Amino acid sequence: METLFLPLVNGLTWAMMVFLVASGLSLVFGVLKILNFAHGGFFMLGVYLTYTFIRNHALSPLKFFLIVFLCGIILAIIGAILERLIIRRFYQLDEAYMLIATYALLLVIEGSVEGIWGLQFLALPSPKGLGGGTEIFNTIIPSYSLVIIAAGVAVAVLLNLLINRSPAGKIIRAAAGDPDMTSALGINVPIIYTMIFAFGIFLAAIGGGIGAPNQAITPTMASSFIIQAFGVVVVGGLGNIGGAFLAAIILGLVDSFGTIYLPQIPGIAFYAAMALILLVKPHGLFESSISTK
Amino acid sequence: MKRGFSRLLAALTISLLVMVLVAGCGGQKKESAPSEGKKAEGKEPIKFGVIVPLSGSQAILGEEMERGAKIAVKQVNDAGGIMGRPVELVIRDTKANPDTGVAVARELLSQGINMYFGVASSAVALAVSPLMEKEKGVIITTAAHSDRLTHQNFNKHYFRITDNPYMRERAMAKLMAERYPNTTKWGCIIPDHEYGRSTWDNFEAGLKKYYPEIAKKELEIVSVQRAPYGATDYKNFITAVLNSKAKGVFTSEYGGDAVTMFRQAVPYAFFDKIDVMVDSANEFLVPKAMGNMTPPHWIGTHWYYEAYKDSPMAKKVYDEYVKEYKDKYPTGWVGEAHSALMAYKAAIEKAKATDTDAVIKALEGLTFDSVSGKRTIRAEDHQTIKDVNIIHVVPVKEEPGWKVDEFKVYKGDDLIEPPSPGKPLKLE
Repeated sequence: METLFLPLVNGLTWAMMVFLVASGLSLVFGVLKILNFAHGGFFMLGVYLTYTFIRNHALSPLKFFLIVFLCGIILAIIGAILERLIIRRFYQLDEAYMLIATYALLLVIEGSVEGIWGLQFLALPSPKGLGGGTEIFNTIIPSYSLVIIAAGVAVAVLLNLLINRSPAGKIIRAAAGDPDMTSALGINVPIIYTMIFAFGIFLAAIGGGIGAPNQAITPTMASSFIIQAFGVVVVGGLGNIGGAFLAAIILGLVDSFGTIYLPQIPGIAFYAAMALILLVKPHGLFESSISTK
Repeated sequence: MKRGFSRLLAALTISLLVMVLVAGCGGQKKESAPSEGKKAEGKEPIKFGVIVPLSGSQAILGEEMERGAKIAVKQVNDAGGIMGRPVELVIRDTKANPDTGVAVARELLSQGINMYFGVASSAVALAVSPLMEKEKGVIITTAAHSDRLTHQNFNKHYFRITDNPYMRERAMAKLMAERYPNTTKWGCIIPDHEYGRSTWDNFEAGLKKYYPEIAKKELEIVSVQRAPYGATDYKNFITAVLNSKAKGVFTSEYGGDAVTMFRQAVPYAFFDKIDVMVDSANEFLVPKAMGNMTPPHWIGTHWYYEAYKDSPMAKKVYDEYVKEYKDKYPTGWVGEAHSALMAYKAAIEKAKATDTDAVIKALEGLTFDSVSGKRTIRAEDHQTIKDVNIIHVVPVKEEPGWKVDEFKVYKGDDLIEPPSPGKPLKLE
């Protein structure tokens, strides 16, 4: 039991961490059609900002997640301003310019983090009562792993409700599918773009805050999940959040069981599975659910 | 048409920006350098190239090396320079990338600088060392631990001022046999690349030598966990080590990876279930990050100032560091960069020349004073014989949440392997 259960939980934890990063990336791509290179930077800012408020205090879970949420809001506001000032100017240009612009933004963020918080590595204590282990099936599971898994599932469910079941979702889907027609119907598409970009940043930031007690905090951590997140977004189908969720779980489990059963070649299983899926389904598991409906 | 124009405009703006940035950086460096040599004015300065990682994942090592180098330059210049000539540093960022390392070294070589020190990563050292041979420069590295540098890839233009994995890991293994004679089941979590494997191989060889010799016990290796470089999740490796019932655990995970690994081990009560944890080389990085979450563990370090508090040179460097950088815990990299310049100073004064051949000749077999006492550079393979420092940290209630409660110093002569430049290292 233990030999199956442990890698299952560890794989799911990793999957949900990656999904928390990938969800915002996928949402922004689905609606704005831009691949935001700076996404990892906002993930990192979420971590550092959360750290700044908490430092070495073990807070109650309620206070902890309130701070994470607040940091998400602060960074979402910054994200909205950046969309208005910078990102917006690139919508009409070739995609390459957007890549360069968001990459430049990432470099600025990395430099700022180094400047403000320094090069020193940091670590964040877990919220009170969640720092230890929980025994399930005679196996010790870090309690905080369960929090991360729950957070990932919650974000997936809420995003699905928001986009596919709410009135706002209808407008978002319309703006993603045909911005000109949506605009002609009297809907302010640029505002929707700003909000979606900011919401993507919010997801990156709370992903960072939630993951912070599970990770070293370093000024180069912007890239720590971003490659896997890009992989998950591509395998799930660009812009498809449900697809990203499923892809994260598949790749997370493959990676986790890979370290157990193929210890000689650690880290390979993730990329092998990704390549295999893309060989069979070059456009990913699903098509974009946001723009095609 | 309009789109074409705006593209051109954007491209022009970007290239202009880049040019301004590059020019800005270059200008800054040039301005700051000469002012460092005020006391020994009048004569042409002796320039040293300092090539260290100042950005990327090893930036923290580079920053400490840069600090050590600057402290050394200030002290040397305040005391009249080298042969009456002021010393000047020209600092460049390797980004811990071999290609960048070679590019910046080439740039400085083309400016006529022939003496170098720094380099954190073994990959960069392995790339820069042959360049020095080809372009007639000389380099002293201040961290790079790959044993190839003084063995199969050795050339006369390369020197290592630090200990090496053979000395470091065996000293740690010896300490384990002395202090934890009943801990006979060992495991490890190491990065899956050359450095990770070589540190473990040396440590394992040390365990297998010293446990039967000192503890009179047979040793069992129960779990070897190799994690991909830059992994974000170590839980499967952590639980595998726990399940193997290993009581002693070694790690050579590095920098942020080590912090992540230590952090993720806490919920499993990992450190309560084992007798002893050994970190081969992270200096103060893990305790500084973890604060009061720091588990008790042993750490290999290049230089622990408290072990040399009777040495005026060590005390001066420590005091200067604390004053200048407002931090009471200089890492060993500060001491190694300082030692590299001390070695050059002694060599140049011995040779009464600064040309590469003369300096190499003077460095070979040189004994000089450093922050960790006398060091001797072996003539055969340019490996320095120096003390190995090992510290033990424990969590405490008061700030910063941890302290060093014990340290051990092992003499280099007793530990070092016989020189075999050009040949691979042989483990017993």
